[in-house]
Amino acid sequence: MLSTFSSVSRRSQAKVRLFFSKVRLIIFLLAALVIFSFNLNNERFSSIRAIIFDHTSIMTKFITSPIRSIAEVKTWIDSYLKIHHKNKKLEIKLKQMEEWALKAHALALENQQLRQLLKISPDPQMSYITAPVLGIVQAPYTKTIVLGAGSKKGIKLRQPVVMGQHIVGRIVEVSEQASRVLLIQDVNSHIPVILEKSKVQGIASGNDESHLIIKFFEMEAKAEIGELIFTSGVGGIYPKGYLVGRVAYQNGEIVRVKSLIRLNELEYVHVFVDMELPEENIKPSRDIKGVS
Amino acid sequence: MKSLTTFLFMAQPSIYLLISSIICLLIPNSILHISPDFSFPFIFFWTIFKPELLPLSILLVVGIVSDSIQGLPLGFHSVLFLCSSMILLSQRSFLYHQSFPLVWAVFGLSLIFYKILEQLILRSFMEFPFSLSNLTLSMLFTVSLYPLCAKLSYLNLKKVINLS
Repeated sequence: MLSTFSSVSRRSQAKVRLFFSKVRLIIFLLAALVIFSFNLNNERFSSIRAIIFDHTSIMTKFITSPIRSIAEVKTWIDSYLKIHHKNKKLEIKLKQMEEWALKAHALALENQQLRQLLKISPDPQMSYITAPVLGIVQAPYTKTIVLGAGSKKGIKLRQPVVMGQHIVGRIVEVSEQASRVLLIQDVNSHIPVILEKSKVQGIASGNDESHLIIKFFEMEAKAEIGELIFTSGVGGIYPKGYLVGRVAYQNGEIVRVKSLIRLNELEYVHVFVDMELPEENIKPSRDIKGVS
Repeated sequence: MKSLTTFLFMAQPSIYLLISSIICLLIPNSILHISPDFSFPFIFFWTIFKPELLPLSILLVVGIVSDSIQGLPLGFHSVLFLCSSMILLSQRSFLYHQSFPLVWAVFGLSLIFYKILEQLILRSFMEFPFSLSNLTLSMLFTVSLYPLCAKLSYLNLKKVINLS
């Protein structure tokens, strides 16, 4: 009698436990759904996201540091093995550059004189800050880099990020101490570009792979293999005249561009902090359906 | 000392999940789109064989951390992990006593549902080029990765049972 009672009691206890575990699962799933939908649709949630990002940016640095160390060792070995060959190459390049520097100086003077004659207003001076790269995040669905400078240093959403004369991307997430740059190779990145020789304009978009794909504004526009691609400055987000990459492949309408930046070697980048960005209704972090 | 060892063994499934959800950052970009899913084998194993060691709160938190690191909207991975956990829990009583080949086959089937769910949630907020061949390869690699993850988790599970 007692054993029957205890087995019934055990069974009912198990049922109650199962019921509560199901309730708990539904509560957690609802919580995750609320966080997900708030994150997509509510601007106020960005401050919470920024706090989490501040903490995870340190983790990103820690996780990606082995790759960076391997890349550094590889670069060091490569440069050590090719030191003699590289020295000769650099000597030739230096002579060429000296000639180019003289020409550039003369052209700059001529340009200045012509601008004065035509009374063209000078290009706005853009000030930038230099930010260290904490980590390169190349995940299955995103390609971003995390910078060790945030809103405290004047970084804001959508500001362009460059490395020398190369365009790197734009800011899509900012916290106090860190910020995230959407790389030009990311599928959500779309940059107005211009071809070096034909001056044809188009939009370079990131692809699932490492190349960018250009869609031209003009039908039947063609690009030469090896031709350089620059930012056109259209739209006002990216400054004009920065290098996007080089044409690597063309098949019909599809033009693939290879970025000339070696991501693993990125240590510091420049963020244009004083650039006046146009107002836009598109949510900057992601191309969200229904909003754009 | 013994309680610390026990805690570490108990926490291992959560640590596995955290590592597996961010390990994709170490994969070279050229093979990233066909790389296996490292998280799902662990979620599958622990949800079937010892769900108490992979609590729902861990699935929620690891999902959020993973999203924040990868730059995805927060909650994306949490929803994915919790949904798959909910489906697996409903099949737990059937799968618990089955042979390994059958569990492996069910893992393959569950992975298809998991990937469909992932693509559906992903497409709700961003455009992403879809490649069936890449997805198939990634799934094949994940299926072949399962025995290794299961072995690793099984050794851990045995240790936890012995300790408790």
